Amino acid sequence: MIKKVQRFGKTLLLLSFVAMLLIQSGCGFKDIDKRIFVLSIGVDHTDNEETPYRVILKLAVPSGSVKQSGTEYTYLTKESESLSTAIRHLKTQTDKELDFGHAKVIVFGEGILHHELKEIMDFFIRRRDIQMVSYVGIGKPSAEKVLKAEPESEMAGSHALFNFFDQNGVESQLIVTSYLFDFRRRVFGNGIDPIMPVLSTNEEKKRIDINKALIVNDENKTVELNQKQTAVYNLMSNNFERYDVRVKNDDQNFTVAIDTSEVNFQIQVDSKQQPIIKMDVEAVGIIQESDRETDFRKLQDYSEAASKTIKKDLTEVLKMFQKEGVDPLGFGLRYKSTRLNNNKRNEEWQELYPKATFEVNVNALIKSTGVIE
Amino acid sequence: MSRYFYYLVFVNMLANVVASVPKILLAKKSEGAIVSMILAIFIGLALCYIVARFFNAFPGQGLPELMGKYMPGWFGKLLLLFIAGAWSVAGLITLVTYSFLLKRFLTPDMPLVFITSILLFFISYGILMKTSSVLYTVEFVLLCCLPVIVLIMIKSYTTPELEWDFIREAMMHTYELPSFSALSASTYLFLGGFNLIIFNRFFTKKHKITIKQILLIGLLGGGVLFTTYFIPIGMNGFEGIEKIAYPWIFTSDTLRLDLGVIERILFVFLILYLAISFLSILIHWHVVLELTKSVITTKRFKFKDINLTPYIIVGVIWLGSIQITKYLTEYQLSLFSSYFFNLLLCSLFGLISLFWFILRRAKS
Repeated sequence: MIKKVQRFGKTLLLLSFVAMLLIQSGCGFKDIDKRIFVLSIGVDHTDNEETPYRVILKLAVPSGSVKQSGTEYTYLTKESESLSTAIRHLKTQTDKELDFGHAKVIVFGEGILHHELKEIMDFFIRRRDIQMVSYVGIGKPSAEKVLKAEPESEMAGSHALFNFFDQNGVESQLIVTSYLFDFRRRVFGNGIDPIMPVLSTNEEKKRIDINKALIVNDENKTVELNQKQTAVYNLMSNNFERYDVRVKNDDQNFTVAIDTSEVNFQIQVDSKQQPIIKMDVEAVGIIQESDRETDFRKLQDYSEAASKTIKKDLTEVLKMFQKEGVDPLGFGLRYKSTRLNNNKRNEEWQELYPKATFEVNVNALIKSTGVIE
Repeated sequence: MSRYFYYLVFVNMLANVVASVPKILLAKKSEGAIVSMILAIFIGLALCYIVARFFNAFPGQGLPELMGKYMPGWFGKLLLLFIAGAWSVAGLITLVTYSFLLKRFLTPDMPLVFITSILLFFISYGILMKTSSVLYTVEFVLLCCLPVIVLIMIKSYTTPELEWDFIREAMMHTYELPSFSALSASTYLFLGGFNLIIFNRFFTKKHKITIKQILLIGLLGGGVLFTTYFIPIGMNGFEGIEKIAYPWIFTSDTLRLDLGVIERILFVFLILYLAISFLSILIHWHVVLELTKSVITTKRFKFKDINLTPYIIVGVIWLGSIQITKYLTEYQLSLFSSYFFNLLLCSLFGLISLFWFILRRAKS
């Protein structure tokens, strides 16, 4: 009898589990054909103070076959008082659910930088579905133009802007990569300033150039780096190990391609009057191009000449940073991180930085003259 | 010590990485968090050693059996109920935190009560198992998770974006008086050993407790504490870090597996912690269930030879947790967890003196 009851109970349990399968369809998950993916988000400034933000979303249009239709994008724009209200309006412009899970590029128009940076990035940080590893950049002349540019090399199924940054496609010493979390910690942190790549496009919108960078300091002052300065920054920050340098010697001009490099810096404050920022650069490379024949017995001389040039380049950029009052390399942070906290370190550094002198030691080693001598 | 003891300790260490411990520590970043953590390692190890030594003296017996032998009945029962209460709050904190996390990151469209119910469904089955089965489950799940934990650790220490200057900046705040809430929160990581009050029933043999074993726990705990506190700072900066609601979830989103199967580590991390939180709740509530079972020995809750007491306890747990999940806000959760850690650390010294008392009576 007891056994019978037990067996009956087991059957009942099994049946109830099977019955549970029937209610599984009731979950709130939206299928992929009911979603549309946002690839990049742009934020521009409008001149209207009532609705200061202009939000542009670049969406990937789903198509049956990639081969037939090619890549198709669609754009949504809305001006509004806040980013979230803009996006709420934009939601009603598509028949599908906007999915931000793949939004990997955030482009700010130049005008928006006059706003408090914490305010404009708040939305992106606060939302759960926007990745902290999305890339942040500055759009020129506006974020909208950059997003709407469709480079001809763009292939179906791959977004050009992603390729620029994720180090799988193009790799260049001129591209500064700034992740959203990195941007955030630089904005919040004293003693290190946010730096972002500048994405510029021309009128026909057939090309996007990324070869400059923009630094915003604590007082919201922006400083744009030119191509050479950007490359030097990438070298100094250990972002990118490669660096091409044109060496102008007395009798011979040549270009060195550095392929491995390491940069370290220290801050020495022995006397309060003259803090010294010491930077050590180790670089290894080969000669890439020369206007005369090269002689591999003279590699030592070439190395010295290259060291001298790199030293000059770096010192120039460092002096420029100091003059403009920007600190993208985090000298202030290093100052704070090597001295015990006394709650006044930030102010101390503010005073010390303009007085600092730079000591750059470059040890470049040219290994080879290339395939020919 | 048996390897199961390490599992108990290790699960507690890991589970609190997502819960409120890092939040509390980071809130005290310039009020002595680092000194508190160093102190906590010593206090935690001492507590761990004491509890292991004590239960080693009584192999195969949990606290209820010892209480029954050496304590007056009503007092023992009251005390056991009190301990059960503390343990159920510990499990509840993990459950509510994880329900909130799931709601925020994985299943935003699902109602909170439904999420909690699904978690509870599996947990209720788990805690009704035998003590030995619970330990086997813990071992199995933990071993499955270990490779992923190692992967995330390696990734977080080797990512080039980890800025050691921020970490050093945080370390420059060493010379500060410790804060009690940071101390109690970080000591909590080491308290997994106290689950022996029930799980000692499983350890029927006497084991040797050597300095090396305690040092191993210290090393693990120190590593977990260091990672818990410093990696979020290294990835997200020192200033403004206390503003982040879930420091570790946020940090796991800053890690990227470029060529991995899943690019965003966040999702791997969430699934991993789903498993570890499950283990943590399982252990805590199994203790609660067994403690309460030993207190409520009345024969009234019976239906045809089946003792209904455990089912009634599970029912109470269901009701309580669903109501509390509905009621709490995130702020209250972190506030109450902080209060709980403080209270727990204080009452542990009461528990230690109880151990001492039992030991004296047992000797005489």
